Amino acid sequence: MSADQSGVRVMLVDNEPERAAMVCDALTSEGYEVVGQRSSTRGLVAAVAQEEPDVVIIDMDSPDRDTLESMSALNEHAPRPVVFFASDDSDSHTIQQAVNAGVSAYIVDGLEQHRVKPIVEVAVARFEAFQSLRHQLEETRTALEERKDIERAKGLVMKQNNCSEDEAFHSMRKLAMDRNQKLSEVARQLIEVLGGAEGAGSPEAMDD
Amino acid sequence: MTDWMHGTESSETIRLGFIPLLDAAPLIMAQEAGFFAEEGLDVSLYRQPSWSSLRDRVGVGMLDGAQMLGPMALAINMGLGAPPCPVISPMVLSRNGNAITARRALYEQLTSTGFDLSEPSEAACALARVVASSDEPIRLGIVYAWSTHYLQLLDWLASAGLSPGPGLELVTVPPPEMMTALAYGSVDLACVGEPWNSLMEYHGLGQILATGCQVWQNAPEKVLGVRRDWAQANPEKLRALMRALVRCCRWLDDPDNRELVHRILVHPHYLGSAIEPLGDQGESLFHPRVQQHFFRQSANFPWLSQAQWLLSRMRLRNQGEQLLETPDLDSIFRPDLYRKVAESLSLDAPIMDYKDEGEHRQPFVVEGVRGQVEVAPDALIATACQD
Repeated sequence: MSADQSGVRVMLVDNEPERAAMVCDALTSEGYEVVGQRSSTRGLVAAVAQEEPDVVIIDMDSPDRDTLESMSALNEHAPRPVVFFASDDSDSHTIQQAVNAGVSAYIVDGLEQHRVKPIVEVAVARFEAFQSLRHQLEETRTALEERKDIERAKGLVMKQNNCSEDEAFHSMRKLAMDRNQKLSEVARQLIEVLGGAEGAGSPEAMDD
Repeated sequence: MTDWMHGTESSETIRLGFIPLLDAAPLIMAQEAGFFAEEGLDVSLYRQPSWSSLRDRVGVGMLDGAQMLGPMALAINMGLGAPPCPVISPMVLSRNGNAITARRALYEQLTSTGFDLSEPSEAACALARVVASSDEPIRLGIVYAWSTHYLQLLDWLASAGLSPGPGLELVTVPPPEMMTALAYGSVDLACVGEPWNSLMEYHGLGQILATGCQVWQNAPEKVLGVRRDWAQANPEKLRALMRALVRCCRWLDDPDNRELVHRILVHPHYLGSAIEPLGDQGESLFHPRVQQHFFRQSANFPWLSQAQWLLSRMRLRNQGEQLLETPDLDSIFRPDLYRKVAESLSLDAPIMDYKDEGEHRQPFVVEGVRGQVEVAPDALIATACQD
């Protein structure tokens, strides 16, 4: 990070506290000053007047974005949207990445564009990292759920066919192979068919 | 649909964004009642958390198109607030749909001024009277500055010589929070799209004081906006998309379908349980005073004269002041494309692109491609008093 970035003040608006902490750490370690983390834009104009940030980074999924943009149209002291002019390919790439990651940036009192870009990039990297963490967590959770479904279906098949655990498992695996489906899908279908009322598990429709 | 998903889309899928308001009904019902499917289209709908995010996602191509505010279709081409993105608007999706709702305490004060509140400009005069005699500023809640409802609000205020200032403060509030703001008095007047005015009345928080259609009669409220590069690469798909939407809009104007519309919109993916009070029978889904409609009287026709009108109002309110040139409006609003689609549906459409905006207090007839076509009135609010 070039030395001229120190002293640039950044305000974060994100209702995802863990993600905000990640962005805050990353920016701080790059030498930026993070001046306040907020979960909504309520009172933002006053906070901007008090904290004097140069840049405001806001989560794109916040309904507060329209509020912020309206403030900028109505109040000359409100933060203004960063408009990277797409004349430069690397700028339009930055915009694309930021929108994909869900980061939007606003500047206060005209900080130069080239000084905003690295801040947006840091935020984008953290948003992406957070997203992939959450994704991993979801995968782990799904895997756990799937294992539970398979166990349960196995029990139901054993009861239905009066067979051993091994035999139940093999018949389920064969069914999965015949239908070209995942074992967990077969398990869910079996729970629905065999589980009756108590098997009211996932309401998802099976698309076949 | 609630979250951004990278789901099971193919290159054939059309990705469209919407904002959970009543006038998202054309997109939602075209999906749910099968109009898209009947045209052989595979459409994914994405609910957006804000107009800003909807605009940005169309801008970078995560969405091919969206339900857009009339002024947004112009602003996105002009690069106001975001990098410019060429977008075309080949049809209007809805007309009317906004209102200004007064908090009960304020409504009583307005009533006691003796002005006839059923006349919008007199209601504005009543407000001027209250503002002049009030020690505390009256707070006006708006949702988004780059919108039809905000431009209508300013014209309504101007009809009584009012404008936002120290005695009349503008506050911006996201739509779902507007009811709370009105309930607790952090706003006295709420200017917002439906269903929020109906809901504020239903919950006894306020009363509709003036409607958007009393300010600009039958204005183009929401339009279809699609990326120009997508439209050029997919001319057949665009026509099929428009056919599905026009057919859906006609279906939406039929009161017999309201019950189904309510049943679908109340789903959490769409508007959610907030609209439950608006009736299982759907009879109160569309507030009679708001006059929201989707098809009748050439509602879908994208008049170039209305694009000009919107641009002139945006300019008047200093939106787009940094703009040097007038955008090429006839490359944005595309009545030519609409006419072709109307013809393929055996519907008639006006042969001209312009009409005299503000000149018609009653429905009127213009020359159509096949015969005469009825067009809705387009009167503008008159000035009632100047204090």
